[in-house]
Amino acid sequence: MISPQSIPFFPEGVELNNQSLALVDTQLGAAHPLNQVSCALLEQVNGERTIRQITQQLSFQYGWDEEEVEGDFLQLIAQLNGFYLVNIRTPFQIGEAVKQGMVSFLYFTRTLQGVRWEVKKRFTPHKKNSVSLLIFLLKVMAQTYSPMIASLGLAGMLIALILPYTSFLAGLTLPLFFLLFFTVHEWAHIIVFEKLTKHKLPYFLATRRGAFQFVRPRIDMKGELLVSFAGPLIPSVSGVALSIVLYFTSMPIWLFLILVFIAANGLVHLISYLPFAEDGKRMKEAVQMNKLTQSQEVKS
Amino acid sequence: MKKLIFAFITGMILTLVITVILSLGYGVYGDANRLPSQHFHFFGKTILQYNLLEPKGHMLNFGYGLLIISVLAGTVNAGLYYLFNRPGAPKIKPRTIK
Repeated sequence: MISPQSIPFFPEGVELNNQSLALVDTQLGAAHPLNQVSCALLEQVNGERTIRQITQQLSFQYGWDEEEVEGDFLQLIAQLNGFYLVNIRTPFQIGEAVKQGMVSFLYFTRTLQGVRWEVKKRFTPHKKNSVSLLIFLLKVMAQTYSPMIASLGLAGMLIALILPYTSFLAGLTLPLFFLLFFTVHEWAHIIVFEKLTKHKLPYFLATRRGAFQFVRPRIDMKGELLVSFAGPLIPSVSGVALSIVLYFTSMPIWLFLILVFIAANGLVHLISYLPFAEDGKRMKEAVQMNKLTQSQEVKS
Repeated sequence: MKKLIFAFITGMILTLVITVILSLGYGVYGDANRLPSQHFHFFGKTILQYNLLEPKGHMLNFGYGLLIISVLAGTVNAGLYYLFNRPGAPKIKPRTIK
């Protein structure tokens, strides 16, 4: 949640153009028009001043009503943050942290819904090779999915207590492989996209409450299919291969249960290929778009 | 309306899962400490029946009370969602400048 104590700053790839009154996203090649007041407020964003400090300064300078301007500026920052054009940093305060915790809980229970409860963060990884990118992603995913990982860890421990022959190690494989497979999933999307576009097309990564996004421009149908297909491939193949091994091989029960948990974590990624899931939807859209383009070409 | 139903279903499922997990945990705890058999009710409907078996082990029976609690929790969640988003609800605004 964005508060007057939040410090806004522009992420890499976003520039304010005073002359054309627009926020320019150089990575996605898009310009977002602004009015003069918004532009004047955003000019003061330097990654050090809080929303309140900026409104106080400008209200004093131009004789605006502080309370009204602060509300409008908060709304503007929330909107721009929703489009990944502004990042937010909120200095730690106990009261604010408690409030954030309550909002997180109510958002998890869906008592609160909608984008205004989210704070998005955009960043561009500058990693020399795929291994360092994987390690970087592992860190980001651990932060983003920490509540989910903690819940799975607790569930794993409880399963280990209740089910016979289940060890704590088996319980731990649940959160560990959840994290590992999800990281590999996103990593594969990025690597294939970079290879296909020969590192020429820019992209960025983004996080929001409990979700990670790889935001990139659209490419041709074959490329879209490959990028979308690559993500869930490694976890799914690992899950299927492990399931086959488990079916045909006999092993101690404790080891069997550990491998069952790992396989289950991998098999979950097969859902991503279904048309309603993110990757499946992208693949479907790419094929539909291609058909539409072809039919238009035939007509013309 | 769609969001209201979503809030109801989420509240219901979360409560159901948490209650089942807690009940299973109680079963393990009761078994480890050899607690006597217990019967948990909610408005006359069984939530959980815990039976200590001899010489060892335990048995859990879940009842319709569990579903009633879940539906109630879902209704409360949907009600809270409506309360926060009803027409004319006070908007959560930033603190005013004194």
